[in-house]
Amino acid sequence: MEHPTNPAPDTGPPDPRAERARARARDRIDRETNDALAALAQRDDYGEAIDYFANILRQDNSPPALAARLGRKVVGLMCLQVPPELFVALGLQPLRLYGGSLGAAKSSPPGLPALMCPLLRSLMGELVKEPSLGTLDWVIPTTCDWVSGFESLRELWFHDTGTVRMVELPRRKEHPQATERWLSEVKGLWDHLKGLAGRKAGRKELLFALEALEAARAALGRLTALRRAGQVPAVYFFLFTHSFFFDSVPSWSKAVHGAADHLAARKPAPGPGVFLTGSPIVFPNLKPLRLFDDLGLPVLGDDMCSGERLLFRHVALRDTSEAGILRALSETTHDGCLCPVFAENRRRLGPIMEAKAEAGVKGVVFHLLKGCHPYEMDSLTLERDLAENDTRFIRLETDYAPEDGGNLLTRLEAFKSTL
Amino acid sequence: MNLKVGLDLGSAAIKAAFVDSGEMIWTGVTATAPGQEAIALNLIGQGLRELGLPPSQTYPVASTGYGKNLYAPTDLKLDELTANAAGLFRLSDGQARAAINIGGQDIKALKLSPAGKLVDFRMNDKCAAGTGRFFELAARLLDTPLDKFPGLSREPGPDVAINSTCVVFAETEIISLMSRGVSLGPIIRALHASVAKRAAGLLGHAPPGPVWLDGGPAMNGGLAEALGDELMAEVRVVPKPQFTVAYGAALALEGSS
Repeated sequence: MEHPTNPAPDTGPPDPRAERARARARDRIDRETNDALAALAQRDDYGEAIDYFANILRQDNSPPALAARLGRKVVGLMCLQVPPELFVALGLQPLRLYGGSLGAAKSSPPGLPALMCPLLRSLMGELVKEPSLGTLDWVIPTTCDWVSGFESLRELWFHDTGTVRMVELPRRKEHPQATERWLSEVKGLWDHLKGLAGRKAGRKELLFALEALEAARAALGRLTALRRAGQVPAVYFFLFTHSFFFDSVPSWSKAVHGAADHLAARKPAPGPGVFLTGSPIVFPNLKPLRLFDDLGLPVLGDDMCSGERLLFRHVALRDTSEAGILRALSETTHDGCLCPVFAENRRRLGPIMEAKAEAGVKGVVFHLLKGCHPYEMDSLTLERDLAENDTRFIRLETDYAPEDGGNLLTRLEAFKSTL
Repeated sequence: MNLKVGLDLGSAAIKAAFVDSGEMIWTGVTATAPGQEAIALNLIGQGLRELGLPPSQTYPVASTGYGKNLYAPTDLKLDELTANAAGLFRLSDGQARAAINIGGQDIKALKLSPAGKLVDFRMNDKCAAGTGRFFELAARLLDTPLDKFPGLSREPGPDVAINSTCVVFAETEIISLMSRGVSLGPIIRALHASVAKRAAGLLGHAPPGPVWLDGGPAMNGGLAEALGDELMAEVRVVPKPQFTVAYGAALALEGSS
């Protein structure tokens, strides 16, 4: 199956259809990004501290431009199961691959599965727009079926690709052997990344990365505390977390403190607070987030890998040798991951109940992207578990298209009335 | 007179309910079209005339439905699920605990507390299967007015099924059945069963007791029968089921005043 997106190398002159597809994708995606940022700038509580993050996303974030701006090699990262410390220790910039752009999803090659995960359909469109994204070295943890099979799909349309490192995720999370298996994968990835970086690294570099990321966690933790108090609009929080992938860790951490300073002066939003869970929400998909903010349903917390779970929790070091650090990182990421791809996920309820106790969360909103089967199954068991814990729940199944905004609004209004 | 007006500005029709001391004294409906505020004002004017009330009559208005924000002179805006629960609870003499509302472009399943408060609900997603639009499309395909559906669905004939949950594919199935020479009765029965299955799935585990059906398509007795069969429960329909939501909106004014 050949499509005019990224012809195989050395097969002749550039395909004019590919150029046209690229221009169309660029126009759609850039317009959508600019519109989303312009809408944020209209908010009364917008300010210089927020504009820092918007400005990051306004820039040319193609991999070559990003690498030049940050002065480091960029590596594509599909899911956030792997410790970010490994990248930072080696001076690599992890770039989250999956996308939240409707324009990108519309620009994806024809012939993809109809009910494909929107995050990955959007990534397909991003690859049309920016072929250099496809030539990066990629790290793909084998999370859901879509992610695990994505590389096979990509090869059907895009021939000019970098290396792909699959990191196998043990599905039996709570099994003792799974911990060891994941540690082995983390060690293998560490060696692989050293090869990509072309440098040696060990304990010292890992400790440096740990320190940088602990500072980032502290900054994000400060913002999260404000969020629990209803002082951080939902749209901003996801703007901050998304921009992590386009900035250096120290700069991002400093900017998050700046945003926290700015938002600390904001009055807590009125209305019953909710906890957000489910399929990841990725910029520029602000559709569901705007509804919460506009409706007076402040989001007091979330457990999304694109949100509060971005950096996992504090890494507890018992042993500061290289092996000890790798073990601690492996355990932190394995235990802290709440993705529903695991066969057992007993810790799933923890963050929700914590936020309920800490911040008085009144209900849980489950954002379900059409085609996201693991989260669809997860939503059913979570609904039952929450009912047993006397917690209100609503599931919003949607995609990136704006047409169901009225339907979602109706549901959220009614949900609010029940809280 | 303590007149209150509830307006349900839906995707297919605008409904008005005039309420005096909790009693529904007049109802009116008109098709949704651009200029919803003017259409709604005309509808209210019609109600005033038919009740013999002077144009100077004062009344508060509560608006609900997808178009509630398009009616500027409203005194109260509320979501249609809350309005639905309030209206249905009153019309069922406080008996309703579980209900299904079929609207022009959505299906809603509601659960009510013994006090009539909305405690849980589900709505269909971005899909017209099983909604009023679905029935309108079927009526056009079958060249049969919707009010003939209940009678036709009771006519004898072979058991056939419409299995697609997508309107577009369901249309193909209907055409296929027609081309096979299947008569209208079995096709309409299959349509009812298809919608009932979808609605029942939305309701999930219903509390014991009857399930109440409202919204315009609830006037189709064949659908209520199919739903009862699917749910294995008694299905009850309130009088004037298409006005439940508008009525509930008007009742909300009692609480807000």
